Amino acid sequence: MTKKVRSRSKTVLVVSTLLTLTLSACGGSGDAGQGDQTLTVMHKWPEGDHAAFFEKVVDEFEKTNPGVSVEMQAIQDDPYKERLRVLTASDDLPDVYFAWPGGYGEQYFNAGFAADLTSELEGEWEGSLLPAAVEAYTVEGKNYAVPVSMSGKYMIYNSAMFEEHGVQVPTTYEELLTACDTFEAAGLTPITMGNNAMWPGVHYLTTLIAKHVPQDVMRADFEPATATFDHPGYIRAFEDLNELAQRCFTAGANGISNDSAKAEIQTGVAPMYYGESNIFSIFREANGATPEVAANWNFFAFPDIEGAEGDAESLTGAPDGFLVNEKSDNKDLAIEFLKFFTSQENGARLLEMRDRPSAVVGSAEGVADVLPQLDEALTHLQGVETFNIWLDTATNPEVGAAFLAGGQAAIDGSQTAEQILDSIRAASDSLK
Amino acid sequence: MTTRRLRLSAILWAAPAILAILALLYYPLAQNLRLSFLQWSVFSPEQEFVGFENYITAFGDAVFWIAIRNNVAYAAVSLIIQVGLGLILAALLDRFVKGRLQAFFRSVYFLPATISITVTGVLFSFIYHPEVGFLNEALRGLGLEGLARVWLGEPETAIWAIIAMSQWQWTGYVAALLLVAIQRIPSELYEAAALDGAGPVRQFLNVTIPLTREMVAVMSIVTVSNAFLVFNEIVAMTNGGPNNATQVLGTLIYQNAFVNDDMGYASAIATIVLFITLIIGATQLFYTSRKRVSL
Repeated sequence: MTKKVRSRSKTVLVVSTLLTLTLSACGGSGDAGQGDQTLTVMHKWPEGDHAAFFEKVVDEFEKTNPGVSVEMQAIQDDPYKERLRVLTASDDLPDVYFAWPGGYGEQYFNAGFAADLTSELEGEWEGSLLPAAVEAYTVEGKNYAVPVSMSGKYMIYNSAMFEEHGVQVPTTYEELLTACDTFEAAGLTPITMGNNAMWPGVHYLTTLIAKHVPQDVMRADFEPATATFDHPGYIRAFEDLNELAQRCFTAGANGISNDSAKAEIQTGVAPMYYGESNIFSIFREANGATPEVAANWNFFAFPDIEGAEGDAESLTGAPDGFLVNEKSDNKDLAIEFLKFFTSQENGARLLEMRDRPSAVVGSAEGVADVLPQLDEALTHLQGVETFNIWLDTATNPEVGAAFLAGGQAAIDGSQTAEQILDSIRAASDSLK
Repeated sequence: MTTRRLRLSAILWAAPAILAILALLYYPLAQNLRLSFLQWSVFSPEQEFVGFENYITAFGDAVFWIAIRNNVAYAAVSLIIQVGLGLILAALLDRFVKGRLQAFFRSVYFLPATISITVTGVLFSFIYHPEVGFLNEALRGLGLEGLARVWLGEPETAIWAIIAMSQWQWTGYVAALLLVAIQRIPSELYEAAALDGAGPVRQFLNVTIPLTREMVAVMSIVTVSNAFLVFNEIVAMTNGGPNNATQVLGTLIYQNAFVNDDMGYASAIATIVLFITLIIGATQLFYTSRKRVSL
């Protein structure tokens, strides 16, 4: 009898231990720090200089706010989207988190996962930030994020190669194509392009569509409820991309990675590359550029297209910004943190440590080692009134996916402009 | 009394495992089936019942059929190359290469299977690179410029280029496992066949194949189900592009769940994948259990 009891109790013990283990594994997130406050932050820059910058800011913030500790998580681009989605589904978002502007970030605001920061930003704080960057993170006049850094898309060129082949910086789209022909005739790939990851193609499309389609038409089309996509500019944009692919891009661009394409401008193999200002640091010798390239490169904004109906002055690019979790208990602290993040000092630090333009006005002052080109880009960015946000985050994700695939189809010519537009229309209509 | 006590404690001892399987395997499966009839996203928490609409959407979706076609192509090629060619390789190794040399070849064959897909992906990106890639260089070197292509960038070739990479990676693995099965065949059987006048080919067909049937069946199930679950290879090489030409069911599920935020649709595709693999597994098991050859 005793034996039986013992063996049974042993069994019960095993079962209950296992159950406790399973259960405790499920309910992981305990509340941390009674009395002291813990702020959770999530962003997408885990790499070297970026990580160092974020750690520095967090350190300083903790120093000026005793009793506050910041828990920061950095996850790379693509897994970041996934992680954010999972946290959203389980209602477990951090207090402060990064999100792309446009349709991507708006969905968080519209679903009540991001706080309305309009009244907080109003006045002095908003005045210290670049208007176009603030504007990119608004929906119906409400601010849902604080921009911290910015990036603009420019045609980067090798000035030594331009000189050698007698090519002037193109001021019109036609001149750009002629420049391509000149390089092509000399046996060079005029514009190095790797569209394996699909977003480089979408960046071109963002620019071309903004050149061809008026802003208000574009905005209405990005909203599935009002979308028609019947402006003739869309067709022209896809045709232009196909023309660029044939006359300028690396052959077979869809099969080449962006990194491999980028290396060709960095090492002086190709004369042009369409890149963001946040990669300008690759032209430092310390980061792998050849000495000739490091001394001979510059950039120009994508040239105007004759007869195009869009906003010629707008620039493809976007700020990076942080949202505050609407459901957070630490909203005030979160806002404090973002104010600290966008102080003059940290704006300068961002430029200094990450070679990336800050959204803070005048942040370049007092920073010693700014690349002259970056300084120039910063000046240009400050004058930009409208940013054309990358099409894959400006639109609803499903429409974005259709644009990503459409960019590849336009580049390899496997579909006509009409067919591509039909697939984009279909994706948009399915959301009505 | 004793047997009953034993049975009771046996159940109790097995209970944790059963609970774990129920909670971690069957509950998610049931949940997935339920979700496939709903329309919901992380931004609209209310789940709307839509019946079979997600399935109807799938069957009307051109990309879904591209994915099915790619998975079927993956399965067919893998079956022929990995299991078919793998078996021939194993038989050759067993018959003509002995001792240390055999062990060496076995390791060489097995080696690719131990390389992480990320590394393989990078390696093959270099091989397939349109300008400086090894494959196109080799073709040019042989005077076959006309055959040089943008292997991963053209809709017609991209999926085949990825399938080829998988064959490189896994054929040796399957061959190494089949070799073990072949070596378990008693040598008297080959001797008897030789006495009856059977040559090497005849011996392979009449002795090796029937007696490795079970292992071949297991490997076939594994290869075909893996072909329907393929995901990493695609993500590492093309991410479904160019223009969706290399989408497979796995990437389509990921795309809809985590990019398009259409969880119901993703669940519906996942359920279809489950049914396909279940049917393949069941038929193969049924077929091989009927024709078991015993020594």
